[in-house]
Amino acid sequence: MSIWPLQFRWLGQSEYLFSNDSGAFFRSDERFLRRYTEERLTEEDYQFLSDHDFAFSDVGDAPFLGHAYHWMKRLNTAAELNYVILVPTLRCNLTCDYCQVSRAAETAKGFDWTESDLNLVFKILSEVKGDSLKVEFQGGEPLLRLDLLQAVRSFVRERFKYAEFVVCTNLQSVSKEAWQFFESSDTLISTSLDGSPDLHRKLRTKSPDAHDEFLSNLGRAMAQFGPERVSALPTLDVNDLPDPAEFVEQYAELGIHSIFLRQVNYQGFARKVLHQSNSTSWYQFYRSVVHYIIEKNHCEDLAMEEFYLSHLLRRVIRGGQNNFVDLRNPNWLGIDYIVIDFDGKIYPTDEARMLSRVRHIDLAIGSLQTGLDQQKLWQLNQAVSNFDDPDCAHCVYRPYCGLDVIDDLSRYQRVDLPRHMTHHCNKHMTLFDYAFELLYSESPVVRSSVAKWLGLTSLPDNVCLVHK
Amino acid sequence: MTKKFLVTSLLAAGFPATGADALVAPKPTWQNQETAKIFSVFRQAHTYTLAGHSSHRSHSSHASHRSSSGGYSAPASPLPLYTPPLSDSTPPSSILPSPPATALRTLPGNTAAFTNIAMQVQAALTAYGYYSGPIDGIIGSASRTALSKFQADYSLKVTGTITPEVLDAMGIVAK
Amino acid sequence: MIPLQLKVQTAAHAEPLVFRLRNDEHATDIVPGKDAFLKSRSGNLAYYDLDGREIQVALPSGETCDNDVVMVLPGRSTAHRLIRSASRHNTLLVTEQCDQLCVMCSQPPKASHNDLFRPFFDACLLAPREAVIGISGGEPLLHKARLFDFLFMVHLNRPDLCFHILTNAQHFEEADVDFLRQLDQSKITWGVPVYASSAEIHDRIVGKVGAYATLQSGLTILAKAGARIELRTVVLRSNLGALGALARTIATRFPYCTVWAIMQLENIGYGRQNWQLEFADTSTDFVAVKAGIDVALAFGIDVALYNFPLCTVPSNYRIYCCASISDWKQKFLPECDHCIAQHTCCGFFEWYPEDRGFERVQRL
Repeated sequence: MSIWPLQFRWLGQSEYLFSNDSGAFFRSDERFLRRYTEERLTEEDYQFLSDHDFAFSDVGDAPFLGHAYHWMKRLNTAAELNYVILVPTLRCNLTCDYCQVSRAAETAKGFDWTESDLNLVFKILSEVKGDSLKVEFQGGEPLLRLDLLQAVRSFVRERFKYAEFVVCTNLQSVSKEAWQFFESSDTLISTSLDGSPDLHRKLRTKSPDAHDEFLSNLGRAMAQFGPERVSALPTLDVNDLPDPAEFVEQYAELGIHSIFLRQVNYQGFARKVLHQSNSTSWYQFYRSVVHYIIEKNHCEDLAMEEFYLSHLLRRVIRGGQNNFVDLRNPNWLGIDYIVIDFDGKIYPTDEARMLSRVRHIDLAIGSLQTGLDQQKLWQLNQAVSNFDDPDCAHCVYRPYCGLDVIDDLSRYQRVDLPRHMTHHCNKHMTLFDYAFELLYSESPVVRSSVAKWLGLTSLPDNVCLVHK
Repeated sequence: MTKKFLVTSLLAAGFPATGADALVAPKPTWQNQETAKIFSVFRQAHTYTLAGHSSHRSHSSHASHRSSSGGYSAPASPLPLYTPPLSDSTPPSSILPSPPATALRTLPGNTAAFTNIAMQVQAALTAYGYYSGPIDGIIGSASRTALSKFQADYSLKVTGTITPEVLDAMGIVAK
Repeated sequence: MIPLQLKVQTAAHAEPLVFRLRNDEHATDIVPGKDAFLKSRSGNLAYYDLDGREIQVALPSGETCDNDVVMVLPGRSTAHRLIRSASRHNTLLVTEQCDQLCVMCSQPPKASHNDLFRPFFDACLLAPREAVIGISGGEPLLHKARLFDFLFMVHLNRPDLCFHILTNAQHFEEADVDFLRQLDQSKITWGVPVYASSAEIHDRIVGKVGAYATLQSGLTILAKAGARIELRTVVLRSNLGALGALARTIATRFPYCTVWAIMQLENIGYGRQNWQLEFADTSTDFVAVKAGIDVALAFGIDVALYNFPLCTVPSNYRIYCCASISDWKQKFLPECDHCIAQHTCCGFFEWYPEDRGFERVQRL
């Protein structure tokens, strides 16, 4: 019998979590770990490992192939271009403190696509080989150039069999034509809704009138299109965190059940003072919010979630889930999605665009005029796979995790730091620890929410294995 | 005047050097055929949208329970069926190492065998003077008309399709 | 019940006659020698002309049988409706031989075999565009070489057709992978029964020692060929308690299957003989099935419920039900009158025993 190599992590006391490359996992204790490392496994050990396909007998047998399939499913195979982020204008009608792209003033000139830029965008899109495309409009404020949005949408609808559009807008000022634009079922809205009304106003809308206008637009969007077509994402200031209960209730009142907890990333205009994200208070807040959601789900029979935690849980249990581009392995850059800026420059991710804008590092991978710089892409893509990282290779969470080269660059100006020294790694270690804590929880209230987050009515007992 | 960048190059950021031989930058390629095979064998189709966080999965059509009405009672002697050649020829291009971008596509190689035989049939029809269209492996109406004429002339049952008798008459045989 | 055989009269013939019934003489897609045109009707008797051969067919009431593909065997006076053009449920019975003896078998095996692959090939070429054609038995792969030839030749001429092949996966060999990869596997679904992840239980249910072990290697061969696999599990008292474990095994060991179909028992063949022993009334106790479904879904395995009337399934699991009972053997009960879900429900088998079946049947 051949046992797939196991990675492990100490969970406290005498408990350990084990996993192998296919992402299959189980909990056991220190004595098992000793038996495993000292090569004196018992009959019961072998039986457990064999019963649950942590081992195989012959290359190519049924357990072997199952393992291979799971391993394969966890890989992000590079696909044809199917997702583009378009920035038709850098101008904006708000002046948010933490704006990461250093937006341009609403009346400024020279910050929009020219006619020729638009035609080049059409040219690039017409060369896409697949039959589906997701287009995300960013900015500045995309609604300031509704005409460009309409032109792109018409073009893409005609050219692609499956098309989906997302408008990332501040919903501050929505014209009649813009509301009409939103009416199509293939068009989604993504907006910001910060920690609390006060915070949102402080950072973004500034005046009470402007804030009311935003709220009214958001309310109308939710009423007309529903939570399936409108997402509202918070950006939270770690030094000014809201009360978890009030925070969750604000979203619940709007009918938004999926909350994505994100910290302000102090780049862009807020780079004047470098804020350290205070880990302890952030994760305390995080756990409080999740705990509140779990209780609320139980009391009111809801299915609210913290989006990223649900995503991690799905990655752990199911694999796949590679369309959320921030966490995948290998995290190919500039292959299945690109960002096209207002000036025609092309970037691998939106954050890469922001870093380049603030002169941090030049991550442009080409332009509409000159095409893609294959050599630069090749170089960037040398560092996107956690198979290649000597620290990740030994991590119990490696199969579910992935690298974020751009985040490392933004914080440390280097991509080759030992993993445990990076924010990305620390964040994911903490979150995965929490995810597994919830998965193995015996509390029925917790299990009920975990089930809902996995899209189930209840969480069966044999999903998470324990070996004693 | 544009400010300089804080980090001056990818090299300075810890990315490996490109080297002189990295002039033609390939898309990431697979190191060996076996891996490529696994990818082209297992196919997935999931799409996901962030807004609303809903996922759309492509639903495969569910086949229903199948059983029959009962047997066909009269004995019949098995009529000849053609045995197609097994693939000892070039493997389908999707199994050879290729940029991962193609790994997710439906295997064109699955139908290479059909196209191959169809092209041989079209070539034969052309040689015998029944067909003058493109030899592209696609049996359209021109090919079918040619097949019918061929069958009539060779006293075969006229169907306009590639039957085992047609293949025999043309001398297109298994491996 | 929809009749699948029609009374016919025609002059003697030495080979099986395969032809398509056409009511429209002015159709443009005529296949010479294969299309029989309606000349006249008298009551339910219809007279067709197949290239000079006169054929009299007794049509079933309420049906025109237009574009149906039928087969008449030499010396017989019945036409088998191989492909009914207006139906989604057409199955070709390629053999009655089988190497297993499942306790719920709806088509008990026979020792003899009639090879009808050539008439079936002729019939498939006349099928409506994009038709889905079932291949069943007995065990079709007992005649693997002929079956593979048949599949290849049909796809050569009709790449638009889809097949749904039922097989116990006992007869695949590594060497088959190459051939299978030449077929367009996106057009074939392989329906493979598995009853438990315990060899003891599975082997006992299918009546063959070693079946489970061979099944596993059969599935790996299909997987390597890129096949679409529909795993099928009939719910029985014998395997009810093992559904949760089976679900986990499927998720871990056969995650590449396209769908896991959990099926209710059909009261025909051995299923009828063993009904009392094996029927599990899931309308009163859905716990075991729920356990199986929940585990499979947790791991991302697609699940379907076949032959479960909607009212016998808890409301939040009804989305997995589908209209799985073939039209020709489907019926509804008096309780179904005015049920709002009748058009999506699979209904009941023609031979469903109302006195010994589900306790809870009620209109929705």
